[in-house]
Amino acid sequence: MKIGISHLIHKIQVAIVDYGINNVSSVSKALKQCNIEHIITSNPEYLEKCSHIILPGVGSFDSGVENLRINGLDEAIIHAVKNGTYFLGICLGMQLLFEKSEESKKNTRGLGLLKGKSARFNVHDEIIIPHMGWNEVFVRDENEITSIFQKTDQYFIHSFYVIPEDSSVISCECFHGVKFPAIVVKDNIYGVQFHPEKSLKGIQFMEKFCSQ
Amino acid sequence: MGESNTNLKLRVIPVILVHNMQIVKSRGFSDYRVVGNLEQTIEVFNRRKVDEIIVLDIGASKGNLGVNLNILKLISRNTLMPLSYGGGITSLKDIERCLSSGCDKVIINCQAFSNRKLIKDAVDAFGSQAIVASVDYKLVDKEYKIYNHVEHDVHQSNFVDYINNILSAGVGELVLSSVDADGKLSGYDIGILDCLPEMNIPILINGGCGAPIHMKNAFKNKISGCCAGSIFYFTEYGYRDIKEYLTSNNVRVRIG
Repeated sequence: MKIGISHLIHKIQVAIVDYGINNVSSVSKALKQCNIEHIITSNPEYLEKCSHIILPGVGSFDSGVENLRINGLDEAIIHAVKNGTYFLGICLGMQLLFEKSEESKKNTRGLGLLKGKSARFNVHDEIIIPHMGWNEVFVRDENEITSIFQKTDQYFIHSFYVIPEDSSVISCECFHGVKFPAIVVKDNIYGVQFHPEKSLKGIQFMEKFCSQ
Repeated sequence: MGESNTNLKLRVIPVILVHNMQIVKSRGFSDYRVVGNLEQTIEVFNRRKVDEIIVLDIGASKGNLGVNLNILKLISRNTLMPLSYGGGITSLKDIERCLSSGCDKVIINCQAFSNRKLIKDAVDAFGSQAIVASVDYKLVDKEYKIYNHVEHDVHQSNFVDYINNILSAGVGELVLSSVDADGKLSGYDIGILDCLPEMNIPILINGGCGAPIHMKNAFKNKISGCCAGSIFYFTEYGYRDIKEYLTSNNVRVRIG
């Protein structure tokens, strides 16, 4: 019986990665709203044991990578995701999934779990940068979890967007001077550019993500 | 901004001024009156699904009190909506504390006078999207001047130079608040928008909104959002009324 319970706890554990400069409290609040049990951790050992990893993100690409490296969180995430742990990167957390970013001043390598890079919005497109506020999301594929966002407004706050090498990973798009990926999905890996924790639909999405 | 270049919605942003943990409303940056309870008001705006809110602790920099952790605690408990917070921020540690409490952006006002380095370092550490500059302005002899709310005085520097200085530090958003229009409910002082240097970051205008038509008129200019306080406390217009009015007048706002 004892073994069964501890096995169960390990199985359903959702971990929000706390790497110093991110907004974990909003994500945690959203999970609480849908009664998803979770831990907030900066311990790489926990990431190896949990079933779902959520990587929020506020800040620059360089400081994000540097902070992940301090405790070896980067290696733990890569290892866990390659072993099938579900992963959700939000905003900068999505951009960190890729190999590099135009934002980096030191040519810093990202997690590299998806191939591609982040690019800056272009002022020549006569747009306001940062892309800040509510913008419409269009679903591009038939993913059961992301399809709830079709033609909904979601909250964006960023100056860079991802350009995946393999465009088939793009699940939802948004338009701000250019069409850019709002959500990418590849197997157990999810990246969301907007903040799902800011909307009811987004919280439903997080609930579904954590329940798979 | 070309209509077809983006589907981004224009924002309607309630502003909450906090003093001693209560919500106050001012006229001309003085004459403060208590208009509500902080916790309840945040909860109401949260339920109405507002685009985002701005919370400003106006006592913090005046009294040199630093960031009010009790306000942050309350915010982090109660809000899901996007939120910008200002008041008493003087260090990177303060900013980190605000962001980790659930604020999406921090607003820096007084610091813009004296501490350009803080803004620059903050942009490097947290990204420009998290750093908002707040500028208070006042018309003096037909010329716009920067107003310092701590010293109750106008700044002598040239307005455009001052704005350019803030922009070059890399801030991600600019909030312009008119001292003259504040609390008068007679419309924004949009003349300021013609005096700004060229920029492509979001501009929010604040001060003087008393009816939805004031927002409609302001949105004819190149701004990303209209901020308002008094309209929500002293008029019959609710948040949804404003949004519906703007939508029926072809202003691209979010209904949701």
